[in-house]
Amino acid sequence: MNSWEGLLYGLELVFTPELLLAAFIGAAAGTAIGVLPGLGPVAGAALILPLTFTLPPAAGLIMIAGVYAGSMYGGSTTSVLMNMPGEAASVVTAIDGYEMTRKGRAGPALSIMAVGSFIAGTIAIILVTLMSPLLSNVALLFGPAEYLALTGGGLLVLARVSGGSPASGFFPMVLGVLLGTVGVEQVTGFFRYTFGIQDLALGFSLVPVAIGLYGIAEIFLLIEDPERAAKVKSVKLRELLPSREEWRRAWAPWGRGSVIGFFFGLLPGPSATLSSFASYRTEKAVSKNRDKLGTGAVEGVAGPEAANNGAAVGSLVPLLSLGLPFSATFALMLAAMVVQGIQPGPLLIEQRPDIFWSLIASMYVANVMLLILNLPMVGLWVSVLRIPKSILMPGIIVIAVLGAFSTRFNMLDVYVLVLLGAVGYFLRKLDFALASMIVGLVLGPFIEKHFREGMFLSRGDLSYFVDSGIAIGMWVVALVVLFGGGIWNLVRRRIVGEEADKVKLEVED
Amino acid sequence: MKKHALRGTLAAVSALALVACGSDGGSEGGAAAGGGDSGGDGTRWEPNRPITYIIPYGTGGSTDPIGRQFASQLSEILGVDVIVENREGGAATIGTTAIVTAQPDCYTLGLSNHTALANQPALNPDLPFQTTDDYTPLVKLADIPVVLAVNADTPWQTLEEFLAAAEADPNGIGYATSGAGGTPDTNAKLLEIRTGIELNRVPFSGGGGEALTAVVSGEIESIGTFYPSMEGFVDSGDLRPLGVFYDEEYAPTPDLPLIGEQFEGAITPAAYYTIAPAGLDEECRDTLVEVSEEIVTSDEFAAFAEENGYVVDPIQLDDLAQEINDYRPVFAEIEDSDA
Repeated sequence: MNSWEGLLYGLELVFTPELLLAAFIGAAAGTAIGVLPGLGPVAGAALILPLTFTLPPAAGLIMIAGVYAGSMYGGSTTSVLMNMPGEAASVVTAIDGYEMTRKGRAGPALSIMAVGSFIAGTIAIILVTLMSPLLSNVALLFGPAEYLALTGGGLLVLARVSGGSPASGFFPMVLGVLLGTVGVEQVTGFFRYTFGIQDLALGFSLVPVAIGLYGIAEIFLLIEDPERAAKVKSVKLRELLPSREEWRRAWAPWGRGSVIGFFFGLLPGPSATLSSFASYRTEKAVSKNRDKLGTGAVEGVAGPEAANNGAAVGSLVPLLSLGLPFSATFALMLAAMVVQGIQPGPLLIEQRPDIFWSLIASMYVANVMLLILNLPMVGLWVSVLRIPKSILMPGIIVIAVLGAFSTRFNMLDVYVLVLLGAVGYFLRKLDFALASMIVGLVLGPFIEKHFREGMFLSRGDLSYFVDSGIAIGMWVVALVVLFGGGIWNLVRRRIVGEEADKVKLEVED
Repeated sequence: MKKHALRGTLAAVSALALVACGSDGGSEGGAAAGGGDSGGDGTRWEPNRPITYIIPYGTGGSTDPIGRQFASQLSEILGVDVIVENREGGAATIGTTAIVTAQPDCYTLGLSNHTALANQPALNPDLPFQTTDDYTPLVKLADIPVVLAVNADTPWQTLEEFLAAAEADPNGIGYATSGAGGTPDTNAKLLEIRTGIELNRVPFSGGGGEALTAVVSGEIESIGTFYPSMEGFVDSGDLRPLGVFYDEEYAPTPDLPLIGEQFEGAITPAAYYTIAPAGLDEECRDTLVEVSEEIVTSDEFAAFAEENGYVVDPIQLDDLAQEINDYRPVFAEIEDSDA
């Protein structure tokens, strides 16, 4: 069957009451899990996995897909409402999402996220359908040299993801990379910076770092200045929906974010997180309202949220065509497939088109369910902000501590949460960009790993890293993004004169 | 007369069934360990609250499913919830420490493996599980051997050709592994020690998936990994398996040469065990020993093992301790060599 027939066939399989119910339960459970800080897609999928063993294959997989999409959405909900990212892919949404909340636009931000997730799902599905035969091999084009270019170049480009001066971005980035070196060194198993404490071998996990930096630090700031809190007097339906202006501004970022997310999804690594940052960075470069990013711009919410959903669909391609799960959530999905007697691999599309296409379709149905489930709930989420601060804040701290602990059942993560809360407070007082610290922590270990792998592979020959067209291309793009703007301004200043040069860069917070 | 014959037959059949049960329950390992017959006195420990089963790897990792399989069957048999706790990190030492330092009340047990128990104590004298007396080795779940494969575009058709090429070109052939010190890496080191060849072992981290990608794309020539993950690429003709690091026939690949037969001691399959703290209460210990054997010898567990490329080997207690102790000199040899 060709791709369109495949997709139709998949949708036909998925649109049964039983499977729709499975998608609904998954999306609902996922949203609930995602809303709790610290519990993200992995925790959600792990909780629901045993349940799927007793269901028919398609129902189980659809349920996990629903949990995945739901927890991505739920995680971003707390980013927007309380500046507390529920998982790493929601970090960047907090920047403009929370500013929107402080301006009283929490409802529109949540609506734009839900619709954006749905649109990203749609665009990604179309891309899979058009290009599925070509896409399965994209991951094979990437070896250590290409990944080093992607992650290393990405680190340089994303250091200034939220604007500000170069120093305000690069300092936290270096701090993030440093944090990433703590623990067991990945290649040889050497213990680094553990000071004889066995638990430190675990290293700094992203979840407690992100919740600490954003959520706990936010609570410190609120204690200092209660006026900072978002005020919600009444939740009227009209205020929950985006204005015509907001809808209009969301379209382009949705489209760009979806495509960016989809292509990141084809590659291993933390694709959902990375794509949300890349989308934000893109908006900062090309959006008409780029000056407003960081101050509560719709674009800063629409792009990244579309991107992380696009990535979710995109990463189904390597999972299904190579049998290689590139994230923990997909490893769980693979586990669910294997239990059902399905072993994904290069022959899956040929031998079991029903499984391939029903999974692709199920991701889509999960997105539809998410929309149906969450648009009416926007009012409920926003009304969370009406809970008195004296009750809400201690409650959040309790849940954050539980969430941090539950990821690995280790007290280390709770200490990290509190410590990074203090670090985040001081960094923000000093106007540093916190997002670049997360970028450093995410990418640092990957850069090191790919560099080491390449050095092993080439037996110590550095020229290996620039021996590939793709790698060179990515380094060039990174350098152009980094220095291109500055050079262009220099050139333009020569031609047009000093007056034209009024590039404003907004600082986060 | 007819009735008598019928009764006689029934009696014979039921007696046979009993014998079958007996031989099943008292298989070699269990009987030798003194655990297999303990069900005879009729008292069985009945837990009254959930049991915690610790898995020293991350949720969704390649080792997670076998632990969860055991935990779910344990829950079925004992009639209480068994809560799986993933305590990853430190080459499985963090989770293993949590198991051996738990209260010896039979409410905490968990998964561990041969490297954590036989190799790590030698590297880190602070670990609380230095000898097999520091914990109760309840049951061995399974072995899983490493399979050596090459990219199908490489010229080597057999293990001999591969080894000859490696000998002619020291450090010239790349061998992708899931990480330094992991089971595929350890097997290659042993092969190097036994044969004198030298491979360029490249440790890819990330659960072995990236090692597989690298060899399928032709970035590197060969790989050692577990068969289930490479099976799809063997079927599609991208990879050619050349040998198994094992010394008895491996069901998924019955035609491959056994490296352990050709070069004695050149193998160390990954081995997974269920262990509990030392000094368990007498009453529940016997039940756990009995139940864990029941699980590992069950049809359900056998089906799971077959599907996932595991070789079930239900040894318990002293026999299991012996196996763990037997691994110590193997790791010592690798540590001492320059490989």
